[in-house]
Amino acid sequence: MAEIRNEKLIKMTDKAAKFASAALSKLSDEKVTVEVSNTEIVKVHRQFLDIDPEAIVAGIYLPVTGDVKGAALLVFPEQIAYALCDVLVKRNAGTTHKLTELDISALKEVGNIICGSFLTVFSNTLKVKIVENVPQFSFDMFGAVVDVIIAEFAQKAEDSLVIDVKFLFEHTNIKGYVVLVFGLQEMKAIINALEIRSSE
Amino acid sequence: MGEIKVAKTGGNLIALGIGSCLVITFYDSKHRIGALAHTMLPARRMPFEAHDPKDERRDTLYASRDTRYADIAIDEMLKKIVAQGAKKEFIVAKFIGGANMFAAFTSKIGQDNISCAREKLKDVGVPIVGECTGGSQGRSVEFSVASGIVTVKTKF
Repeated sequence: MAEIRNEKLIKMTDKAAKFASAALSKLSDEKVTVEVSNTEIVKVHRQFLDIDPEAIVAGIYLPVTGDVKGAALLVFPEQIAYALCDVLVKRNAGTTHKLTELDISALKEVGNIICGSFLTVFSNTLKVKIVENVPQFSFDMFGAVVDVIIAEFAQKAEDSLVIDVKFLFEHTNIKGYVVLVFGLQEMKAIINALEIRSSE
Repeated sequence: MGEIKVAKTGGNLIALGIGSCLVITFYDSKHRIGALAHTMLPARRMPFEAHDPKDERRDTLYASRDTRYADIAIDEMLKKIVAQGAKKEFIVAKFIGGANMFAAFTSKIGQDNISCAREKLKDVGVPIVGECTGGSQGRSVEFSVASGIVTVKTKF
Protein backbone atom coordinates (compact mmCIF):
# COMPACT_ATOMS: atom_id res chain seq x y z
CA MET A 1 0.00 0.00 0.00
CA ALA A 2 2.45 2.67 1.12
CA GLU A 3 5.91 3.04 2.50
CA ILE A 4 5.99 5.06 5.68
CA ARG A 5 8.26 8.07 5.93
CA ASN A 6 7.98 8.95 9.55
CA GLU A 7 11.01 10.42 11.30
CA LYS A 8 10.01 9.20 14.72
CA LEU A 9 9.46 5.67 13.50
CA ILE A 10 12.76 5.65 11.60
CA LYS A 11 14.60 6.84 14.71
CA MET A 12 12.93 4.18 16.81
CA THR A 13 13.65 1.34 14.44
CA ASP A 14 17.27 2.46 13.97
CA LYS A 15 17.76 2.54 17.72
CA ALA A 16 16.18 -0.90 18.10
CA ALA A 17 18.37 -2.28 15.31
CA LYS A 18 21.48 -1.02 17.13
CA PHE A 19 20.36 -2.69 20.38
CA ALA A 20 19.69 -5.93 18.56
CA SER A 21 23.05 -5.76 16.75
CA ALA A 22 24.91 -5.30 20.03
CA ALA A 23 23.04 -8.11 21.80
CA LEU A 24 23.45 -10.60 18.95
CA SER A 25 27.14 -9.72 18.58
CA LYS A 26 27.61 -10.45 22.26
CA LEU A 27 25.70 -13.73 22.02
CA SER A 28 27.62 -14.99 19.01
CA ASP A 29 31.07 -13.43 19.51
CA GLU A 30 31.01 -11.97 16.03
CA LYS A 31 29.88 -8.70 14.48
CA VAL A 32 26.19 -8.77 13.65
CA THR A 33 24.43 -6.05 11.68
CA VAL A 34 20.70 -5.63 12.08
CA GLU A 35 18.90 -3.21 9.80
CA VAL A 36 15.36 -2.22 8.96
CA SER A 37 14.90 -2.75 5.25
CA ASN A 38 11.34 -1.55 4.92
CA THR A 39 8.45 -0.20 6.96
CA GLU A 40 5.03 -0.03 5.41
CA ILE A 41 1.31 -0.26 5.91
CA VAL A 42 0.10 -3.20 3.90
CA LYS A 43 -2.34 -6.03 3.78
CA VAL A 44 -0.43 -8.97 5.17
CA HIS A 45 -0.06 -11.45 2.36
CA ARG A 46 1.77 -14.63 1.52
CA GLN A 47 4.40 -13.02 -0.65
CA PHE A 48 5.78 -10.67 1.99
CA LEU A 49 9.03 -12.56 1.85
CA ASP A 50 10.33 -13.78 -1.46
CA ILE A 51 10.70 -17.43 -0.44
CA ASP A 52 9.44 -20.58 -2.18
CA PRO A 53 6.30 -21.75 -0.30
CA GLU A 54 7.71 -25.29 -0.17
CA ALA A 55 11.16 -24.27 1.10
CA ILE A 56 11.92 -25.57 4.56
CA VAL A 57 12.35 -22.79 7.10
CA ALA A 58 12.69 -22.42 10.82
CA GLY A 59 9.92 -20.07 11.93
CA ILE A 60 9.73 -18.40 15.30
CA TYR A 61 6.44 -16.76 16.09
CA LEU A 62 6.13 -14.30 18.96
CA PRO A 63 2.66 -13.07 19.79
CA VAL A 64 2.54 -9.57 21.27
CA THR A 65 -0.15 -8.39 23.66
CA GLY A 66 -0.74 -5.43 25.97
CA ASP A 67 -1.91 -2.07 24.62
CA VAL A 68 -0.87 -3.25 21.19
CA LYS A 69 -1.75 -6.54 19.55
CA GLY A 70 0.68 -7.89 17.07
CA ALA A 71 3.23 -10.53 16.30
CA ALA A 72 6.73 -11.06 15.16
CA LEU A 73 7.73 -13.81 12.80
CA LEU A 74 11.36 -14.73 12.30
CA VAL A 75 12.21 -16.87 9.35
CA PHE A 76 15.48 -18.68 8.81
CA PRO A 77 15.87 -20.76 5.65
CA GLU A 78 16.90 -24.33 6.56
CA GLN A 79 20.63 -24.08 5.83
CA ILE A 80 20.82 -20.67 7.50
CA ALA A 81 19.17 -22.09 10.61
CA TYR A 82 21.79 -24.87 10.74
CA ALA A 83 24.64 -22.40 10.23
CA LEU A 84 23.26 -20.14 12.93
CA CYS A 85 23.07 -23.07 15.34
CA ASP A 86 26.73 -23.89 14.61
CA VAL A 87 27.60 -20.35 15.69
CA LEU A 88 25.30 -20.11 18.70
CA VAL A 89 25.99 -23.57 20.12
CA LYS A 90 29.73 -23.25 19.32
CA ARG A 91 29.99 -26.18 16.94
CA ASN A 92 32.33 -26.44 13.99
CA ALA A 93 30.88 -24.82 10.87
CA GLY A 94 28.78 -27.20 8.80
CA THR A 95 28.15 -29.76 11.52
CA THR A 96 24.47 -29.11 12.28
CA HIS A 97 22.13 -31.10 10.02
CA LYS A 98 19.24 -31.61 12.40
CA LEU A 99 17.83 -29.32 15.06
CA THR A 100 18.05 -30.44 18.68
CA GLU A 101 16.10 -28.93 21.57
CA LEU A 102 19.19 -26.87 22.37
CA ASP A 103 19.30 -25.54 18.81
CA ILE A 104 15.62 -24.65 18.89
CA SER A 105 16.10 -22.88 22.19
CA ALA A 106 19.06 -20.93 20.75
CA LEU A 107 17.02 -19.87 17.70
CA LYS A 108 14.15 -18.77 19.95
CA GLU A 109 16.64 -16.71 21.91
CA VAL A 110 17.67 -14.91 18.73
CA GLY A 111 13.99 -14.18 18.20
CA ASN A 112 13.63 -12.85 21.69
CA ILE A 113 16.65 -10.60 21.29
CA ILE A 114 15.64 -9.09 17.97
CA CYS A 115 11.97 -8.67 18.76
CA GLY A 116 12.63 -7.63 22.34
CA SER A 117 14.88 -4.83 21.10
CA PHE A 118 12.18 -3.41 18.85
CA LEU A 119 9.37 -3.85 21.32
CA THR A 120 11.31 -2.31 24.20
CA VAL A 121 12.14 0.78 22.15
CA PHE A 122 8.52 1.07 20.98
CA SER A 123 7.22 0.67 24.49
CA ASN A 124 9.63 3.13 26.10
CA THR A 125 9.40 5.79 23.42
CA LEU A 126 5.66 5.72 22.90
CA LYS A 127 4.73 4.92 26.50
CA VAL A 128 2.55 1.97 25.58
CA LYS A 129 2.50 -1.37 27.33
CA ILE A 130 3.78 -4.14 25.08
CA VAL A 131 4.00 -7.68 26.37
CA GLU A 132 6.11 -10.16 24.45
CA ASN A 133 4.79 -13.71 24.84
CA VAL A 134 6.55 -17.06 24.79
CA PRO A 135 8.04 -17.77 21.35
CA GLN A 136 6.61 -20.65 19.33
CA PHE A 137 8.72 -22.71 16.96
CA SER A 138 7.97 -24.52 13.73
CA PHE A 139 10.31 -26.19 11.23
CA ASP A 140 8.43 -26.84 8.03
CA MET A 141 7.45 -25.42 4.65
CA PHE A 142 7.55 -21.63 4.48
CA GLY A 143 3.99 -21.34 3.19
CA ALA A 144 2.67 -23.44 6.06
CA VAL A 145 4.66 -21.53 8.67
CA VAL A 146 3.41 -18.10 7.53
CA ASP A 147 -0.23 -19.19 7.08
CA VAL A 148 -1.05 -18.67 10.71
CA ILE A 149 0.26 -15.12 10.95
CA ILE A 150 -1.50 -14.12 7.73
CA ALA A 151 -4.77 -15.70 8.83
CA GLU A 152 -4.55 -14.10 12.25
CA PHE A 153 -4.08 -10.62 10.81
CA ALA A 154 -6.53 -11.06 7.97
CA GLN A 155 -9.13 -11.78 10.63
CA LYS A 156 -8.34 -8.82 12.84
CA ALA A 157 -7.33 -5.98 10.61
CA GLU A 158 -7.28 -5.29 6.94
CA ASP A 159 -4.09 -3.25 7.09
CA SER A 160 -1.09 -3.81 9.28
CA LEU A 161 2.11 -1.99 10.11
CA VAL A 162 4.84 -4.27 8.80
CA ILE A 163 8.50 -3.76 9.67
CA ASP A 164 10.97 -5.87 7.70
CA VAL A 165 14.24 -6.49 9.46
CA LYS A 166 17.31 -8.15 8.01
CA PHE A 167 20.36 -9.26 9.88
CA LEU A 168 23.82 -10.41 8.88
CA PHE A 169 26.44 -12.26 10.88
CA GLU A 170 29.41 -10.68 9.12
CA HIS A 171 32.05 -13.37 9.69
CA THR A 172 29.91 -16.40 8.84
CA ASN A 173 27.69 -14.50 6.38
CA ILE A 174 24.48 -15.77 8.00
CA LYS A 175 21.43 -13.81 6.90
CA GLY A 176 17.88 -13.95 8.17
CA TYR A 177 14.57 -12.14 8.05
CA VAL A 178 12.21 -10.86 10.68
CA VAL A 179 8.78 -9.45 10.06
CA LEU A 180 7.11 -7.50 12.82
CA VAL A 181 3.40 -7.07 12.22
CA PHE A 182 0.98 -4.95 14.18
CA GLY A 183 -2.72 -4.81 13.45
CA LEU A 184 -3.63 -1.21 12.73
CA GLN A 185 -7.10 -1.37 14.20
CA GLU A 186 -5.60 -2.38 17.50
CA MET A 187 -2.69 0.01 17.61
CA LYS A 188 -4.36 3.38 17.34
CA ALA A 189 -2.15 4.48 20.22
CA ILE A 190 0.98 3.93 18.19
CA ILE A 191 -0.42 5.43 15.04
CA ASN A 192 -1.55 8.51 16.92
CA ALA A 193 1.74 8.82 18.78
CA LEU A 194 3.70 8.61 15.58
CA GLU A 195 1.24 10.78 13.64
CA ILE A 196 1.80 8.32 10.82
CA ARG A 197 0.81 9.47 7.40
CA SER A 198 1.45 7.10 4.57
CA SER A 199 3.13 8.49 1.46
CA GLU A 200 0.43 7.37 -0.97
CA MET B 1 -4.97 -17.31 -0.97
CA GLY B 2 -8.62 -17.12 -1.77
CA GLU B 3 -8.00 -18.38 -5.29
CA ILE B 4 -10.44 -20.77 -6.94
CA LYS B 5 -9.22 -22.71 -9.95
CA VAL B 6 -11.29 -24.93 -12.23
CA ALA B 7 -9.88 -27.39 -14.76
CA LYS B 8 -11.45 -29.75 -17.29
CA THR B 9 -10.23 -33.15 -18.40
CA GLY B 10 -6.50 -32.74 -18.03
CA GLY B 11 -4.09 -30.69 -16.03
CA ASN B 12 -3.19 -30.52 -12.40
CA LEU B 13 -4.35 -28.03 -9.80
CA ILE B 14 -1.81 -27.35 -7.10
CA ALA B 15 -1.47 -25.54 -3.79
CA LEU B 16 1.93 -25.44 -2.10
CA GLY B 17 2.92 -25.10 1.53
CA ILE B 18 -0.43 -25.25 3.28
CA GLY B 19 -0.52 -24.83 7.07
CA SER B 20 -3.64 -23.63 8.86
CA CYS B 21 -5.26 -22.82 5.51
CA LEU B 22 -7.66 -25.30 4.01
CA VAL B 23 -7.59 -26.54 0.44
CA ILE B 24 -10.95 -27.81 -0.78
CA THR B 25 -11.28 -29.83 -3.97
CA PHE B 26 -14.45 -30.63 -5.92
CA TYR B 27 -14.55 -33.34 -8.55
CA ASP B 28 -17.18 -34.50 -10.98
CA SER B 29 -15.75 -37.83 -12.16
CA LYS B 30 -18.43 -38.30 -14.82
CA HIS B 31 -17.53 -35.11 -16.65
CA ARG B 32 -13.91 -35.00 -15.41
CA ILE B 33 -14.10 -31.46 -14.12
CA GLY B 34 -12.25 -30.42 -10.99
CA ALA B 35 -11.97 -27.32 -8.85
CA LEU B 36 -9.63 -26.29 -6.08
CA ALA B 37 -10.04 -23.49 -3.53
CA HIS B 38 -7.30 -22.25 -1.23
CA THR B 39 -9.14 -20.82 1.76
CA MET B 40 -7.63 -19.13 4.76
CA LEU B 41 -10.38 -18.38 7.26
CA PRO B 42 -13.55 -20.02 8.56
CA ALA B 43 -16.97 -18.43 8.04
CA ARG B 44 -16.95 -14.68 7.97
CA ARG B 45 -17.75 -13.32 11.40
CA MET B 46 -21.21 -11.85 11.22
CA PRO B 47 -22.35 -8.91 13.31
CA PHE B 48 -25.70 -10.69 13.63
CA GLU B 49 -27.14 -14.09 12.92
CA ALA B 50 -27.85 -14.46 9.24
CA HIS B 51 -28.64 -18.08 8.76
CA ASP B 52 -32.12 -17.44 7.42
CA PRO B 53 -31.80 -17.43 3.60
CA LYS B 54 -34.80 -15.07 3.45
CA ASP B 55 -33.08 -12.50 5.65
CA GLU B 56 -32.24 -9.68 3.24
CA ARG B 57 -29.30 -8.56 5.37
CA ARG B 58 -27.60 -11.74 4.23
CA ASP B 59 -27.12 -10.33 0.75
CA THR B 60 -25.16 -7.39 2.11
CA LEU B 61 -23.01 -9.61 4.29
CA TYR B 62 -22.11 -11.87 1.45
CA ALA B 63 -21.81 -9.09 -1.10
CA SER B 64 -18.01 -9.00 -0.96
CA ARG B 65 -17.78 -12.69 -1.93
CA ASP B 66 -14.42 -12.86 -0.23
CA THR B 67 -13.23 -16.34 -1.12
CA ARG B 68 -10.56 -16.38 1.55
CA TYR B 69 -13.45 -17.53 3.78
CA ALA B 70 -14.20 -21.24 3.50
CA ASP B 71 -18.00 -20.91 3.43
CA ILE B 72 -18.01 -18.27 0.70
CA ALA B 73 -15.34 -20.14 -1.27
CA ILE B 74 -17.48 -23.30 -1.27
CA ASP B 75 -20.47 -21.39 -2.67
CA GLU B 76 -18.34 -19.76 -5.34
CA MET B 77 -16.51 -22.96 -6.25
CA LEU B 78 -19.82 -24.76 -6.69
CA LYS B 79 -21.06 -22.02 -9.03
CA LYS B 80 -17.86 -22.08 -11.06
CA ILE B 81 -17.62 -25.83 -11.50
CA VAL B 82 -21.29 -26.08 -12.45
CA ALA B 83 -20.80 -23.23 -14.95
CA GLN B 84 -18.06 -25.33 -16.55
CA GLY B 85 -20.43 -28.25 -17.07
CA ALA B 86 -20.23 -30.27 -13.86
CA LYS B 87 -23.46 -31.63 -12.39
CA LYS B 88 -24.02 -31.09 -8.72
CA GLU B 89 -25.19 -34.65 -8.12
CA PHE B 90 -21.83 -36.02 -9.27
CA ILE B 91 -19.61 -33.63 -7.30
CA VAL B 92 -17.61 -34.94 -4.35
CA ALA B 93 -15.28 -33.00 -2.07
CA LYS B 94 -11.95 -33.55 -0.39
CA PHE B 95 -10.16 -31.18 1.91
CA ILE B 96 -6.60 -30.81 3.07
CA GLY B 97 -4.85 -28.62 5.63
CA GLY B 98 -6.09 -27.01 8.82
CA ALA B 99 -2.84 -27.72 10.67
CA ASN B 100 -1.70 -26.01 13.82
CA MET B 101 1.91 -25.19 12.99
CA PHE B 102 2.73 -23.70 16.38
CA ALA B 103 1.86 -26.11 19.17
CA ALA B 104 0.93 -23.62 21.86
CA PHE B 105 -0.87 -21.23 19.53
CA THR B 106 -4.34 -20.69 20.90
CA SER B 107 -6.40 -19.32 18.01
CA LYS B 108 -7.23 -22.75 16.48
CA ILE B 109 -7.82 -21.22 13.05
CA GLY B 110 -6.93 -24.52 11.38
CA GLN B 111 -9.49 -26.48 13.37
CA ASP B 112 -12.12 -23.77 12.79
CA ASN B 113 -11.45 -23.95 9.05
CA ILE B 114 -12.04 -27.72 9.06
CA SER B 115 -15.27 -27.47 11.08
CA CYS B 116 -16.60 -24.66 8.92
CA ALA B 117 -15.90 -26.50 5.66
CA ARG B 118 -17.46 -29.70 6.95
CA GLU B 119 -20.62 -27.86 8.01
CA LYS B 120 -20.88 -25.86 4.79
CA LEU B 121 -20.40 -28.93 2.59
CA LYS B 122 -23.18 -30.63 4.50
CA ASP B 123 -25.39 -27.57 3.94
CA VAL B 124 -24.82 -27.53 0.19
CA GLY B 125 -25.15 -31.31 -0.09
CA VAL B 126 -21.69 -32.14 -1.42
CA PRO B 127 -20.37 -35.39 0.09
CA ILE B 128 -16.89 -35.49 1.58
CA VAL B 129 -14.97 -38.48 0.26
CA GLY B 130 -11.55 -37.79 1.72
CA GLU B 131 -9.62 -35.52 4.00
CA CYS B 132 -6.08 -35.05 5.25
CA THR B 133 -6.34 -32.46 7.98
CA GLY B 134 -5.09 -31.31 11.35
CA GLY B 135 -1.77 -32.16 12.95
CA SER B 136 1.20 -29.84 12.89
CA GLN B 137 2.69 -30.50 9.46
CA GLY B 138 2.69 -28.36 6.35
CA ARG B 139 1.25 -29.95 3.22
CA SER B 140 1.41 -29.48 -0.54
CA VAL B 141 -1.49 -30.59 -2.70
CA GLU B 142 -1.57 -31.79 -6.28
CA PHE B 143 -4.94 -32.60 -7.80
CA SER B 144 -4.93 -34.54 -11.07
CA VAL B 145 -8.14 -33.62 -12.84
CA ALA B 146 -7.78 -36.48 -15.34
CA SER B 147 -7.83 -39.14 -12.62
CA GLY B 148 -9.44 -37.29 -9.72
CA ILE B 149 -6.50 -38.31 -7.52
CA VAL B 150 -5.40 -35.80 -4.90
CA THR B 151 -1.80 -36.26 -3.77
CA VAL B 152 -0.70 -34.71 -0.49
CA LYS B 153 2.99 -34.25 0.23
CA THR B 154 4.69 -33.37 3.50
CA LYS B 155 8.35 -32.60 3.98
CA PHE B 156 8.96 -34.91 6.93
